[in-house]
Amino acid sequence: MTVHAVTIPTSPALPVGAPRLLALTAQVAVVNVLIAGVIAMLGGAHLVNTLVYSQCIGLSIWGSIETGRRIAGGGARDWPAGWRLASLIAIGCVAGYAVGLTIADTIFGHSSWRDYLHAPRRLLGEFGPTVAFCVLVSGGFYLRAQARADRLRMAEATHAATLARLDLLQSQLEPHMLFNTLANLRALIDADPRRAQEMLDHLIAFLRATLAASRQAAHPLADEFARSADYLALMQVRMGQRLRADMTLPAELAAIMVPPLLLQPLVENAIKHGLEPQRGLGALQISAQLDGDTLVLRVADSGRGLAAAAASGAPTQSGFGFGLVHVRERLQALYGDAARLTLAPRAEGGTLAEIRLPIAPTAISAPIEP
Amino acid sequence: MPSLLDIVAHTPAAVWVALSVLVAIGVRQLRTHTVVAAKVWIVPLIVGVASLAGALRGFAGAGALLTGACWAAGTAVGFASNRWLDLPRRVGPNADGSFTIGGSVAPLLIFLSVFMERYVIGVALAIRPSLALDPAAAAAAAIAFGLTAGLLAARSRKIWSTRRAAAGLLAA
Repeated sequence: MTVHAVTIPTSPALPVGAPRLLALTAQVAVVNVLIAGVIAMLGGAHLVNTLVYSQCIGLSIWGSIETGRRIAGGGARDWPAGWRLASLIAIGCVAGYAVGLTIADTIFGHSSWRDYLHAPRRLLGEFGPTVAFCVLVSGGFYLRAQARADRLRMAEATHAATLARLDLLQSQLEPHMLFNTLANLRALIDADPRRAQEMLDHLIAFLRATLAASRQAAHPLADEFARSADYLALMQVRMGQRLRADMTLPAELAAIMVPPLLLQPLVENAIKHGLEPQRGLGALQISAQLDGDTLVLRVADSGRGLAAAAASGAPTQSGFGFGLVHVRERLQALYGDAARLTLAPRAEGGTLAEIRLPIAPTAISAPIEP
Repeated sequence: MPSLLDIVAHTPAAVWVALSVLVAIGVRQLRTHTVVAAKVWIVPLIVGVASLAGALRGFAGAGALLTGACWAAGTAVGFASNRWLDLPRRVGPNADGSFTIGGSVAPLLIFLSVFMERYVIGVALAIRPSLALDPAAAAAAAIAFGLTAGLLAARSRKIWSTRRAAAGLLAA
């Protein structure tokens, strides 16, 4: 079975065309009308003049900030952050005010600049409030753009999670394992009906648990051990007395939340490539322990070891099976470099697979809406 | 009409004290901080009560029913607007019932808006006392007051809801 990795573009370049620009311009124009209304309410100024001045100044400030944003930010929807954002708004205010005022002056054949020259205080009194409104309005646009970007990221993450879940399910319900078990079952039905029944019960439990686990983002470590136990029970029916398994889960670790089906692919790998191909008794030790803030999950087998598995042409190349590649990818996606999966030969023979993952949850997470 | 600069120059000192308090609260929230559960609803409550009272008192001549209804409408729109703004962006509940909220410029901007509304409306009423009887002015002021109060309430609701979401996740 081949499974192709699905890559999802991290920042889909949405076209930002004329309709969006038009909608934005209209929004700015509405804000300008409101500001003109406020100024008119304060009294004195002529309403039409106020409207024209407010549109000219408001639109040209918005135009300056929008242009600067696209030059500095790169993306059509990206806003710079920190001091770059502050200077963008400051420069946009000054440049936009100068341009907008000049345009409006031209319309009315007036020169505000000459007024300002005679009464510099007027410039401060008119430019000051403009800056205040400009900061609040561009702040609103900035927050809205951020929220939109968050939503986009969230949608991508959900999409990726769905694909990962599908992948996981596919890897767990691998036809090879399923057909092997069914073939064993078929043979057992005549030879040993009671054991066949037992095996069927384990198979049902395993399938049900796998489906349930694939729907969850996390489950308690105790459940993870129980799933591996189901799998082991199935394998024990198949391998009989050849397989001896030993699971150690300290009680205080039972409730730690872990991503589902992390351990089981390791167990599967140990049996498939380590124990099953080997003659004689095979031992498997599965354990969990805490190392500071790190949860350490270990699967040790007494199988034929890594070198032999690689030499026999097991489907491993560099990743030791699709299941392990999958575990590694999921750890990387969930924890970044904070978690890792290692495979190493054991001194006494066999292989040790080890997963280390941080247990401290980050206090700040992406918003979780039910 | 007095120039805007004269108005600013004649503003009572208490107003600037209020502004500095609001700015200080806003600036503190530029960084990631922790808020105890009891405090989550305090700010929208104070701003809500103060803005409704301010609108009713300032425009007493325009009819309390109209002013109140417009304030409620503004609050509803402000509350709904958080569907687009989605504030706060980053928030998570802590084990002790408090919340950790990621630093953001949003609270500062909202507080500045609250100040600007009160300031502009206060100045307008001082320059033209007849506005207190004008239903249109009363409606506009009440809607503006309501918008920020509603947005603050929606923000608190989102903070509060993360607790329920987290509880659901643990129970699952």
